[in-house]
Amino acid sequence: MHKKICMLGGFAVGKTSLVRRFVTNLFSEEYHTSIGVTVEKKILSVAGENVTLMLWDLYGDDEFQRIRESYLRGSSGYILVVDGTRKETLATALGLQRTVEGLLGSIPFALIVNKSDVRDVWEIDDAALSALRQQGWTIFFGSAKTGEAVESLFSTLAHRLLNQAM
Amino acid sequence: MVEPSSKNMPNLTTDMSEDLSELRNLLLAPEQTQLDRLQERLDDPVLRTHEVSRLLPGALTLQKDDPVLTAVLTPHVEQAFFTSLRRSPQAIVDAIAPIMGPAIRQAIRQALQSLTQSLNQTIEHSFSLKGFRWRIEAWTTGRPFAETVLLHTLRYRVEQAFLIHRDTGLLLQHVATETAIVRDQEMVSGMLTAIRNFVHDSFGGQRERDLSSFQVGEFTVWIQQGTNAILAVVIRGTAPETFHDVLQDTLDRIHLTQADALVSFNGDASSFASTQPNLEACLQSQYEAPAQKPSPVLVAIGLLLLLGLLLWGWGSYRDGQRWDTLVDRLKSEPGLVLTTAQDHGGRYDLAGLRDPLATDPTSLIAASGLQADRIHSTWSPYYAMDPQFILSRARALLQPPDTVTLILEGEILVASGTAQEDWAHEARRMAPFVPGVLRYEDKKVQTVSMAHLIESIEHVTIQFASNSSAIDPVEAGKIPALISVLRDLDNLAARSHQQVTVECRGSVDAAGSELTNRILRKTRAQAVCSALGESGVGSATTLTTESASIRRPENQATTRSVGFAVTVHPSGSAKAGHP
Ligand SMILES: Nc1nc2c(ncn2[C@@H]2O[C@H](COP(=O)(O)OP(=O)(O)OP(=O)(O)O)[C@@H](O)[C@H]2O)c(=O)[nH]1
Ligand SMILES: [Mg+2]
Repeated sequence: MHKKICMLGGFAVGKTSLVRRFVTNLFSEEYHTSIGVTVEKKILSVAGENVTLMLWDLYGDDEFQRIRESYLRGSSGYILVVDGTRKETLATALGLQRTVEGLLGSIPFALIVNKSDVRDVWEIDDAALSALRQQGWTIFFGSAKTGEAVESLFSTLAHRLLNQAM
Repeated sequence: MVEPSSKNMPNLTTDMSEDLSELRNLLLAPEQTQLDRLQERLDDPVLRTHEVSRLLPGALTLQKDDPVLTAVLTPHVEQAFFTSLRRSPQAIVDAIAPIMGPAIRQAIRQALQSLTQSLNQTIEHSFSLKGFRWRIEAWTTGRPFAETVLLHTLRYRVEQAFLIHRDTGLLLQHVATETAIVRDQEMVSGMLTAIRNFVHDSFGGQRERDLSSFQVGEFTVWIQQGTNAILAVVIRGTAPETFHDVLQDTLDRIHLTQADALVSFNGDASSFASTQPNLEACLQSQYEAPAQKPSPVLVAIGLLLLLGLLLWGWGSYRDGQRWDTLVDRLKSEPGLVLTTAQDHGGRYDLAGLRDPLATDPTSLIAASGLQADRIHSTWSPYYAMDPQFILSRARALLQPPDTVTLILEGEILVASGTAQEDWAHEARRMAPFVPGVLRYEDKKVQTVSMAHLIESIEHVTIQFASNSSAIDPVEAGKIPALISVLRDLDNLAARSHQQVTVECRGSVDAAGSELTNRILRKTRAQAVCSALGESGVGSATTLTTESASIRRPENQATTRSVGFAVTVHPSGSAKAGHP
């Protein structure tokens, strides 16, 4: 079973870092902004079945939140990435979520507040997210740097994709 | 009569029940028979089997779309098939052979084609300078030489084909050549889609501006767009534009056969396994200049054929020469008359006449160098009229002794010399029957008899000098003639199965003592005897000296000489005395 998942979020929130951590278990402090799309692949085992996740790591576009529709098409689910040290990235993520839902309808997604390893410059707290939790959003606090919540982020989404398919 | 009713009561009842049953019979008899017949039909298994067998085909036809029936029958059919297969495999083989045969032939043909191609390329480049460079390259890259050659002579080769779901960018099916380097086809598929999307978005949404090909190093990627799927192929080299049509056809066919699966695709690509043959058909390739240069294998075969033709040509030219020589030889050969000599392209017919005394034509044919089994010859016997043949024939028939010479003067056979009376007589009788001889003449034949010969032998004396037993040269001159006569005599005796004893008798003159004279007689006889016997006189002749019992002198010559006494007696019998 193959599933397409898009990584969405503002620029430099750590989409590429999360994918790289998940796929190759590596992390780099250097920042190279993504141009266009990179596709990565990871095979997960969900309830005894192999699922191949095709991870579409899209570039972050803060300004207009113009995510190309064609990239999104065919996605089974998506991940919204927020940079915990920058409050405005949450708004970007919320905007993106609305865009996607408008294009693809309601498909499974999860949100991660990244960079949890640098709590001292933290701008986003739990309270800000409680409203979203209320709406039934799946929200993680994690870090591409330490690997915190990375596995569970992807595997939770994968489980939800399959349940829905079943 | 008064109480008929009371009296008749019981009767009435019986009567009524009888009536009832009669009534019932009347009313229900047809139904009863029907019932009985039905009962019978239900109870009789043979009858029921018959009925069911009549209904079965109809029933099965009605239920032909029912999965339950199929499910029920399948194990039985399978079982029956396996049993039948085990019992008579030949029947199954016969049944499927017509299907399997062409399939197998097809597979073999394809395998042979690709073998010939790689063989061709390899042979073609094995010995050239370029070939040498490539050999080094193969050695350094670790690629097989044949593969290196193929890469260099490649016009184009489609190494991979991706069938990609258009919306998700997920891979539906992927095929690659054995030699292709396949990384991660799923990621490639995703990236291809991403790139395509990127181009699509960046350069406007019209379809004709979609990405349809791009270059990556030595590879070109061609992308064929469909409504729900994308066909992407990785090409090494430069494919012709017409290859786009192939891709479009393939994509159309896939869209047609997989329409539902493409629309409802949810990430499970297993149902697209059936598109593999379609994609494999796209893995085409073309190599350098196969049209201008004929296949080396063909050239080799051609050369072999040419060589064969030359050999054959030279062989048939040589055979032609040999044939002419043979015909000339046969024509010139005395005693052979060639009537037919035909060359039917390597097969020869010979016919003619042959004198029994002529050289055997088969030996001439054998000597010609032509294969004897390619020559069919028939020879009819005839008598040649050449003088030499007539003579040979006459000699063979008449068997003249050495002393007789036969010559031919025109058609007259002339004999001369000496011969025995018997022979002369027989020859006179036989000679006219010799083919080619018109007349026989033997005036010059002196006939001899044994008596004549004996007389002439006994007429001879060898003279000796006084008191000598050595044959002097003058006397020795008589010896060869004597031997010749002795031989003739021997010859005649042998022919008539007789034996000859020639006694050499020494004589002395009156002088000398009795003893010396006796010795002298003996030694003179021995001298002559051994002179005659030295070169042989024939197997039927015994030479002997005077026997020990000395003849009395009164009968003896009183000359210094040796004389001869000849006796003839039948073979095996004791010597008869001289008459
Ligand atoms: N401390 C810390 N730094 C992180 C973490 N994740 C990402 N970064 C850093 O953040 C920067 C941006 O990370 P990327 O993964 O490239 O961000 P992105 O979302 O892919 O950015 P774009 O591709 O430009 O949209 C890099 O310098 C990373 O090292 C994290 O969990 N902790
Ligand atoms: Mg990035």
